[in-house]
Amino acid sequence: MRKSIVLLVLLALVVASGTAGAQKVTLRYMFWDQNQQEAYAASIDEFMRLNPDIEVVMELAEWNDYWTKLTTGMAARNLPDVFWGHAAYFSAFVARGALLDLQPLIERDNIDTSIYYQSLLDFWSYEGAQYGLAKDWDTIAFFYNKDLFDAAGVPYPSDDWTWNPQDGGEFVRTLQLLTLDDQGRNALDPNFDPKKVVQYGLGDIGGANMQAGWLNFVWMNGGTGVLDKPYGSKLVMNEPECIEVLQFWSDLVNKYHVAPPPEATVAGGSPWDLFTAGRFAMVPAGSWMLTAGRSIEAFSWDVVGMPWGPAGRYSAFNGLAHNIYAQTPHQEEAWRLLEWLEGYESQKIVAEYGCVFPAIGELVPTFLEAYAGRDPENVAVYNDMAENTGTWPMHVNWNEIFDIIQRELDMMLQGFVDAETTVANIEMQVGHLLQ
Amino acid sequence: MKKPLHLVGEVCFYLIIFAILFVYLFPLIWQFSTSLKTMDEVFRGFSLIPNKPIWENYTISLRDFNVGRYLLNTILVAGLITLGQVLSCSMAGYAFAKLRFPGRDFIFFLYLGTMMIPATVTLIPTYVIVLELGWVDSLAGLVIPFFFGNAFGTFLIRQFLQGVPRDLEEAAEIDGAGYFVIWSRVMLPMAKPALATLAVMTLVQQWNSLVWPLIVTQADTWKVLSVGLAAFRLFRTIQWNTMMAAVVMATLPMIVILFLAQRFFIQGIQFSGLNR
Amino acid sequence: MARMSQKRKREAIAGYLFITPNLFGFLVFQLIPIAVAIVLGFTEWDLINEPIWVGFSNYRNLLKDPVFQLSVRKTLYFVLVNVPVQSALALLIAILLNRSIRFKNLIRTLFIVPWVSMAVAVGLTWTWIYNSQFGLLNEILVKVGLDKIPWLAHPDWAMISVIVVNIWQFLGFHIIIFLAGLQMIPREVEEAAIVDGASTLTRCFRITLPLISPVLFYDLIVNVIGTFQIFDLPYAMTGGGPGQATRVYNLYLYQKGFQFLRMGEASAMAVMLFIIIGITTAFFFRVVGRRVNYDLT
Repeated sequence: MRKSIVLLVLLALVVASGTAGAQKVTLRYMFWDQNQQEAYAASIDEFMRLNPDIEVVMELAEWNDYWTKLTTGMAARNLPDVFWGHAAYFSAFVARGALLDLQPLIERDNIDTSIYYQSLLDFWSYEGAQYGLAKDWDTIAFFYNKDLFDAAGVPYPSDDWTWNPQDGGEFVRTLQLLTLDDQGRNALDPNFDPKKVVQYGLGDIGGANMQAGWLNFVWMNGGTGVLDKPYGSKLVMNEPECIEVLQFWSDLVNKYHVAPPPEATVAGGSPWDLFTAGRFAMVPAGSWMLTAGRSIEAFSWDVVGMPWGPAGRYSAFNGLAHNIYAQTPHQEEAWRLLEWLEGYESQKIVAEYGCVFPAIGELVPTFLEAYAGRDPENVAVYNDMAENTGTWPMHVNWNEIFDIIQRELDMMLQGFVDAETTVANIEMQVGHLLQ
Repeated sequence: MKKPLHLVGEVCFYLIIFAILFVYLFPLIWQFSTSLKTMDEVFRGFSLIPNKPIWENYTISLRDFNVGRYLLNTILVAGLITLGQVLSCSMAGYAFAKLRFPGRDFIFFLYLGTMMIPATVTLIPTYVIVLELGWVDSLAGLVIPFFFGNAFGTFLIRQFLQGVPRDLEEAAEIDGAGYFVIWSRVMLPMAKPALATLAVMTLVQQWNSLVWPLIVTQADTWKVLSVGLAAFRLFRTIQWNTMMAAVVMATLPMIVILFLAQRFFIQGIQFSGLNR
Repeated sequence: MARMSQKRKREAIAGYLFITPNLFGFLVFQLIPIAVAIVLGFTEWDLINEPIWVGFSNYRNLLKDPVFQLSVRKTLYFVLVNVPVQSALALLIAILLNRSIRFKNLIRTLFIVPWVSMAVAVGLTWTWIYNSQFGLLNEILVKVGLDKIPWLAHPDWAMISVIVVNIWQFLGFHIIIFLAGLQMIPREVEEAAIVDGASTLTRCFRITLPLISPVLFYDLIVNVIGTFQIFDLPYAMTGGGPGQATRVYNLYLYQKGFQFLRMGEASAMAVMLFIIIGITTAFFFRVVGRRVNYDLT
């Protein structure tokens, strides 16, 4: 009796796999953000309903693992057909020919690319070819803990607040009032003990935090950024505007004592963990952090835009896109999946889950609706931050260049060297990589 | 005659030992305590005792993160590899320690040499081989590359068996025993602690192994726990409490096995016991 | 004479048969990949396009690379501190735990536990303990009126802090090896020594240690080889920082290969590491290996 059941099950499996294998194409889809899994599963289910000849298998890998898998897969020529692209590796991959040029397909199928933000499309183009449409976008703002502001008797930051690299302005004064030592004295108190801080005004200012951190302030001070232009071969961190900001950034830690050194916000005890634990009154946060913010229960919080700097208000404006592996055996099917995922219907499904801002401007209100009636009240500020955006550094050796920048900046932020020396050190090391 | 002073001294001795163990094991105790906290509580202070223990973290971890399935996969994979390694390494270790054959030392040093090449650079070639064999995303791909043992294990058994007195073998040979019998009846019983050591070492190593299973599995079917744990690490954030619940659940079976394996480390392998 | 060689022949055949399964796995899953890696060391390979033959230029570039030299020094330091302390501590604990004490199994198990805990969680937990601003250790230091210590924040401290965690995490591994070794000592030998009136210390140095010397030797070699390839902890705890303070060899190698897409250089680095470890190990085999007492009778 039991044996026959086993046989039956086996038979059913054979039949099932046989028929499935007959006409269905299986596409592998790899991504890294668990927060978006539900939304994309819903979208892909719909895709499979509309395209019964394609089966999509979703593969989730954590951020670091994701890149190990992707690079190994490339080497072995066994890669997911469609996967998420990111600025960190895009330029390296595209310059080495790992990604499929979508331009011919876009033209063939008359895809209307005008529905996307142009700067997002530019992001995914390289030497006249287009390697992605646009999946989403993000900007930077500050999350702040309302309860800590109330406790310190400090009014909530307003949208027109300011900073400057000389004395820090309103921005630093706010942070000083919110930085407390173990006796409850704030950083403006003459008896304040910077060695025994229990609560910092600001968290997350490591060298690695370029996107949500120092680069925005460089732009707001009138600096160009890191490289003269995307894929440029000139390092422009030696501009006085940039050095001034880097020194200011170091002052936040070492002079004003309103932010912890980068080491205090590594793996165990990430800036986010410490913000949710009430150790930081504010953290710079990309809009992708909004989903994580939903789990905050212990205090109420809101978002405020970047403070206005001498040259205005800037934010990084970035986004992801789906990429197709250049060597995929299922190019046509992969393109159909990509076309669907970046298309209006799918972006609408995803936007309703409220995880990331949709790359199609028209759908932004749908996304914002997901936040109606819950923190943060001021979520729309992320949309305002998209008005002024700086130039994102891209380079075929970017990972290697950034590794150097980040290490040197960390040494500066820990208070071992000043900004000018730091930039000189960086220049010395990246020279050969820029050619 | 026991003096009361003795008793006090003994109590103090154990108090000190367990105090040392408390400090020594603190990071693990903290992990356990974290697994019972709410997310807000985790970084608030250093209290080891949660306000109110949240045992639901464990059920959430099992239900939402598929930890049960990963755990089963891990047991299967680590178990099979351990079985294969102990068998294969004990055979090879015996040959390298006790038998003479041309090329023995050369092969042995070649083995040792492979231990000195970081796995980082052999990862891709190995992956390509497994890919060619069609074993990607399968049990075979997870198990077979490690099933036949490695240099560490062979070296370990060799070192232990070199310590076995020669007259034992000679006695067996006079009794007309062949090499297989000597291996199974003389060497293996002698090497019980070493075999247990190798088994525990392999099990622990495989239990924690991350990079290979990460590369060789794709969908959820064959994911092992170490890979699955990554699901708790969202982009720049970590689900500490449920992750630590999974970590505790992953560690407990190993502690139990370790405790049971102590049986094999008991003093008293005696010559007399072998002269059956 | 003929009978003798007949026996030799049988012994050799048995030897080959006994190593066959092991050798098979070794050839397919170790030797071939390593051969490939050695060849790749002479190429420029970005993982995406076909490798390009470049001869010895990877090696020349590496020798000129200051970060490479630095990572060699960092790794040597790691080995020199870690190996003696870890092995000695493990041996001491193993000898103490080998005596008849109460709760022996429990205490032994507890000493080994850090080694079996999930590696993913170890780095996370310890960075939290070490955290200079909010970590447990500094919290305690401040409570008793001392200054905070920049455990992972200062280049002078970071390496030693990571080494401490490494010693802690793998102590159990070495304890287990030593315990197994101690079990192999025939009880008669120890008893005879006790009858002869040898003191505990004499017995330890004159009998126990020489008898387990093959195991001590194994542990030393394995520890040296393993520590030269240290990767997980610096990767998880500091990412090689602050600055370059904990950027050990294998970490740099991994970055070269997978982050910077220079697998050719990474492979050359692997071959150089092989040479470094090989020389060190050969030294141990010559100097220490000869004194190891292989034959008890």
